[in-house]
Amino acid sequence: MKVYIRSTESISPQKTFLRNEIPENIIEYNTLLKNICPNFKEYFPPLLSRRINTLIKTGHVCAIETINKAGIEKPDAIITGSGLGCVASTEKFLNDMLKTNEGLLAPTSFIQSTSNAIGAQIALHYTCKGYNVLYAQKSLSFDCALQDALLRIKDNELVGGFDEITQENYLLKQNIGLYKKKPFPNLNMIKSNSTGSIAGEGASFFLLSDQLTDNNLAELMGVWITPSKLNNSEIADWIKFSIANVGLKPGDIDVIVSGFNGDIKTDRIYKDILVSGFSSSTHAYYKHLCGEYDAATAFGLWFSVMAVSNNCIPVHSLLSDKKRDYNKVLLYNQHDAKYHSLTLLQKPKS
Amino acid sequence: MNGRIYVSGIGVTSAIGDNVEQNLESLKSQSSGIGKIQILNSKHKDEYEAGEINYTNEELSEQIGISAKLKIPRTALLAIKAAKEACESAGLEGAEKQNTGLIGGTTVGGMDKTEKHYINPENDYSFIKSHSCGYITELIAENLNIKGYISTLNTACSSSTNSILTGARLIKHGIADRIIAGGFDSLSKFTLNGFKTLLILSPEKCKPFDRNRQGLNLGEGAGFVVLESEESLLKRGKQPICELTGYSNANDAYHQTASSPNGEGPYISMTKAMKLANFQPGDIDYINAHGTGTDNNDLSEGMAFKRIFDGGIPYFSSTKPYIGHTLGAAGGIEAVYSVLAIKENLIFPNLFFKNPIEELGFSPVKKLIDDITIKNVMSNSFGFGGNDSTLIFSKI
Repeated sequence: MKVYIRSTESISPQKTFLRNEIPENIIEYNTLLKNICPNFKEYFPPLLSRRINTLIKTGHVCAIETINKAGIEKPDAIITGSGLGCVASTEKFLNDMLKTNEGLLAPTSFIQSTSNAIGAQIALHYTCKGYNVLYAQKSLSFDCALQDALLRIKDNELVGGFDEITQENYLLKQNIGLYKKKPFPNLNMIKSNSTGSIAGEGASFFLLSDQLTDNNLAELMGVWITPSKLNNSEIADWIKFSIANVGLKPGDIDVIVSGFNGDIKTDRIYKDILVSGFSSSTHAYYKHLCGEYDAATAFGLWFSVMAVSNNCIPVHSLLSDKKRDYNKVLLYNQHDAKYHSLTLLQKPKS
Repeated sequence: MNGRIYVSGIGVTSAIGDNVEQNLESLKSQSSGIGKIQILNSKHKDEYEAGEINYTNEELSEQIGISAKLKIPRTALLAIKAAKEACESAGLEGAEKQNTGLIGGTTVGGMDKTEKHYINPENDYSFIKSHSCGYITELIAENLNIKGYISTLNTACSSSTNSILTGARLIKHGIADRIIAGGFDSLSKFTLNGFKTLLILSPEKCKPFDRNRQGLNLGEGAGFVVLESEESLLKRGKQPICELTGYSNANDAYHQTASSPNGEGPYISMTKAMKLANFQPGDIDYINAHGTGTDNNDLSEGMAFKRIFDGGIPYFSSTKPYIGHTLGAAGGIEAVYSVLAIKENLIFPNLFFKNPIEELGFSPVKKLIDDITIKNVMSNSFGFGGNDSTLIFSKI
C-alpha cells in the first residue's frame, strides 16, 4: 500500500507558515531561533488564547491549517512526537512549586505541562475519537510517530512534531554544552568549527493518506530507525541496506537532506558518510533555518516535502548541487552517532 | 502480518513488592501498600498517603548493582529493576536480549531528580539530560544491554498501556519480533502538588467505585511485559505465559482532564479491543479497571461497563488500593497483574470498597476469587487529554 503526504504546514523561526515553499530569504538569529507565530487571535477567542500555553496554540493552529489544506473534515488518528513537550508550563509549575516551598498553586500550568495536551487539544477541536498517542524519544520522537503512522492504523492520519525553547531551558542546555557557548549566526551554521548546536523550536504537521489524489505532495516510501552506536562505514551500510528494502541504491537518491546542526563533533558524520557514500546526489541541510531541537526532523520532513513538491531548494540550503530533479529525497538525522533515522520520499506519480 | 502476540515474561516493582512473586503474595493476602510517605521529602507528606516503595535511591541502586554515585533518577532505578526481572522471566540473555526492542511509558521522566536540583544545582547539572522521558528508556537499554528498537510513549496515565500496544503493533507488522514494553514513574513533588491542585487526592486510602470515594492516592513503581511473536518463541524454544489478544486506543474528545459522563472514550476503547480479539462481552472473565477512586473516573468507566456489558457486568476490580495510582507505570504494572490473574486463576479484590455508586448499582469484586478459571482479562488505562486504552490478555 502506498502512503501519501497530502498536506503539511510548519510554524518555525522562518516565514514558513502558509507559504508552501522553503523561503528564499532567511531570517538571521544570533542565539536561539524562536518561532514566528501566527496571529493566534484569528484562531482563539482572547480569553481562551491567554489561558492556553504557546506550544499548545502553535501545534493546534498548525494542525488546523494542515487539515484545512487536505480538504478533509477531520483526521481519523492523531500521532505526535515531542522530546520535551510543554517546557514553559513545566518550568512555570516547577518554579512556582519550588519557590513557594510547595505553597498554594494553580492547576493550569500543571495540566498544560503534559506533553500530550497538544494531541488532546486537536482531538477536542475535531471531536476526533480515534487513535491518539505521543512519542517522547528525544531526537527520535517525531520519527517514531511517523513510523507508527506508516503502520496505517487509520485512513487520514495527522502526524506532527513539535518542541519549544525557553530562555531558561536554553541557558541550562548551554551550560552543559548542548548549545554553543557564544552567540553564533544561524546563517554560518555550516561553517561552524566549534562544539554545540544552535537552539531552535518549531511545529510541523502532515496529513497522511493512502488515497491517490492529484494534490498529494509526496509519497512516503519508508521510515527507518536504529538506536545503535555506529561508525561511519556502518552508518553508510545501514543507509544502503534500508533503502534497498524499497529497491533503491545510492545512485537513485536525488537529494539527501541531512541534520547538520553546527556541532563540529557530529557534523563530520554527515560530511564523511554522505559525501563519500552518496557522491552523485545533491546534498542539502535545514537546521540553520529552524535550529536544533528534539523534533527538528519534523521540520526536516516539511523541508523535504517542499523540495519534492516544488522541485526547488534555495541555494542557502545546498551543500552541493548535482542539478538533478528532486524526485527522490532521503532525510537523514543522527544524535551522538547513535539514534539514526531515515525518511524516504518521492514525487507521487499521478 | 496477522501473527499472534504472546507474553513470555513479566517484571514488576511496586509498593506491594520488589518482584512478581512478592506482588502476587500481597495481592492474594489483600495487603495494601498505601501508607505514610517516608522517602519523598514533600511538605505535604503528612497530609496524604501514597503507594511509596520503601527503599531509598541508594538502596535501590545497590539492589540493581548500579553505583549510587551516578545519582540516576529514581524513576530509572525502579524501571531497571522491573525490566531486569521481565528479561529474566522471559529467559532473555546475551544476544537474544540484545536483539530485543524496548518501549517505555512515563509521564514525567526524570522529574524526581530535576526537582531536587533545579533551583540550586550545586554544580550537578546532570538532571538536564536525565529529565526527558526518552532518556529513562535509554538508561534501561544501556544497563540491560538491549540494542533493538527503542521508544517512549507519553500519554499521561495511559502511557504504558500504549507502550504495550505499540509493541504489539510493531511485532504484528514485522518491525520487531520481541519487545519489552511497560512503564515507570516515581513519586515526585511535581505530581503530588499537581494532583493536589486538581483537588483529586484522597485524604484516606482510596476506594474505587465506592459511593463515598474521595479521590486517588499516588503511587510509584514500574511494570513490564515481554511481547513476542510465535516465530521468536519457537526459535528460542520458550513457552509463553499467555497471549495478548486485544488492544485498542481511543480518545474521549471531551475535556483536557475530565472524562465524559457517559464514558464514551472508555466505551470505544473496550469495544474496539474486543472486536480485535474477536470477543463478545460475555467472553471477558475479569476487568482490571482503571478505577482511580476519583468521582469522575469511576462513574465514567462504570457507565461504559454498563453500556457494553448490559447482559451482566463481568467480575471487575481496581488494584489501585494496593499500590496507588502509579501514573505512567499504571498500565505496565496492571498488565502484569492481569497476566497473573490468568496464570494463577485469581481475581484480586477491590480493597476498601463498601457501597456501590447509585447511578451504577453494581459492585466490584470484594473478596479474592480463587475457584474459577480465568480465560480472558481486560485491563483499562485512561489519562489526561482523553486518552483511553485497553488491553486484553488470554489464556493459551
